[in-house]
Amino acid sequence: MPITWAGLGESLVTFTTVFLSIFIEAAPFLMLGTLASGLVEVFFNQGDFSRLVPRHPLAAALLGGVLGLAFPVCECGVVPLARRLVRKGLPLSAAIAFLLAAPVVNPIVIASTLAAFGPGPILYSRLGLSLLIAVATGAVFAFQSRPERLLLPASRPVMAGGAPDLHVHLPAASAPAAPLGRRLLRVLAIAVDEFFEMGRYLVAGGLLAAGMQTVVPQAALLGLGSGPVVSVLVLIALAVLLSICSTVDAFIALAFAASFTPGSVLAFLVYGPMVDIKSTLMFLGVFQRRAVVYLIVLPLLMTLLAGLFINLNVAW
Amino acid sequence: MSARAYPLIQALLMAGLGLFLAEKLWSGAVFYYINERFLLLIAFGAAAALALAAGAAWRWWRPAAAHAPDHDHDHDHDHAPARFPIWTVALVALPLALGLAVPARPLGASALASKGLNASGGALLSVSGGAAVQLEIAPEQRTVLDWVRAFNYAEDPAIYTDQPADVIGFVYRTADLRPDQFMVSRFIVTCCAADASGVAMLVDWPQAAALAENTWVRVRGPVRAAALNGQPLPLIAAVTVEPAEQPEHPYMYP
Repeated sequence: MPITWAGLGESLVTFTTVFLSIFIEAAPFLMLGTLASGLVEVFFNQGDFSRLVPRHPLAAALLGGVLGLAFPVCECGVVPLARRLVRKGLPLSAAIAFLLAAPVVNPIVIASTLAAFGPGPILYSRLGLSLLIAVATGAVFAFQSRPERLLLPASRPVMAGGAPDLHVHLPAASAPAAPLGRRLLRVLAIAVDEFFEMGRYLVAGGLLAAGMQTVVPQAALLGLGSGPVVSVLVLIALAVLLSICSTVDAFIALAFAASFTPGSVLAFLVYGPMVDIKSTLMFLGVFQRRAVVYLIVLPLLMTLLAGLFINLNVAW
Repeated sequence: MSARAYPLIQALLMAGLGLFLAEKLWSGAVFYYINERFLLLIAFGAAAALALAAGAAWRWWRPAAAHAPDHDHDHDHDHAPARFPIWTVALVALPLALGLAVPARPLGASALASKGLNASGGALLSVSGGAAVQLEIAPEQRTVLDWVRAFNYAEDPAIYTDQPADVIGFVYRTADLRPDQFMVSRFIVTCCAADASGVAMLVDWPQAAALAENTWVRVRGPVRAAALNGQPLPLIAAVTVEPAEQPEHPYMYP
């Protein structure tokens, strides 16, 4: 197609519609996550989590993996909440497992996957694999001798020499109880700060995803559905590009289920909630770059292996 | 700009975002972006944005009160960020700016050209429970999506031949169509416009060339079986093609 002003105008309108659709749908989930983070900051004490969490790193990672059952957040909301939990003393291995597992292992996503695929192998494997990969990745982080050095200074636990929060001073909840109204206002004040901090990554990720979609035709990818290896790679790429919220991605995956291999559909459902364009950018706001590489690559390799194994060995 | 102004800017932007979402809900333009089942989520988003605006306004108005009550004021660090975070503000303001500057329109023919046509309706059929559902709907009531699904799952699409179709969609053309043909198309949206995929029926219509791309039309006529790239595709031998209003819900939900 020749490039014309009218054509450019059309592309801009399409780009804007796709970008705004991602933002409009993800922003409420991000607000939910930052509000949860604000509530944790104001209503939990500094040592609360380190007392409750087991010392053994693997046990801590396991606990982090199922923590999502109590905090139903998707991959946008989980980042600020995980960071807040680390600052409140949750061990890094548990926080990483929480970060990766919570967008799948939570009541909302279980319900939407159940609605889309029914109580069958896709649902159970999605939950099992997400948990397994998240806990394994969390355990790898536990072997770091100085795990807090993987975090950017502002994300470090206060006891480990992290920078004090710019606006809110600890210990917060140990203070003589302020009136409830004032505490709730503080929750809002914390949430709005985090919304800006994480929202900029959401915007940048949404811009990238919308731009990719306007440039890379989806049909070009979808023609590659049947090979046991290529199909897994293609749906992982699509999960990253589309950056769809984990609360609804099961319905999208359903649209691929007929033409793609089961292993690839599962890979889409497992990897997409852990890593996509917008969550990667958010990771960069919390972790050192080296840690972000681990967070992307370890789950990627494990998801690939699992998808391949299922395609070659399991008949559904 | 002084860093002290940051909470004020935050409050204004969040209030703007809340009002922006509320306006999309009020005008119905929210359906250009999302599946209708997320309506409550967006309503929550609008309310939460206004609440966050209140939080930021409070901190701007009473910076001291926004800190923990036992706050020790002996130390000498600044409570506001050292510099005004201009890039953060610019990025968070961008959705609002784009939303106000670019006219709100649902995805149309040009998006279909880059997203590609989903000639089979995908596996979306399994959501609605099989071709039987399509057959239970009277032919005149079937949408473009119903027809595409019915054709895709019929063993012999010829059973639909001469059934009367009456569908609404936008005009879309690909290079391989004859001059007396066009496609009547719709987008299917599961979650938001980011996952939209297009479905279409072919239309035989002598004056097809006179129809502008992307305009909404209502097409009536008997159905025939056709094929596009080896996929069975319903064709309407149009008796009438009339201009139509863009539907309140421009996308269809599987």
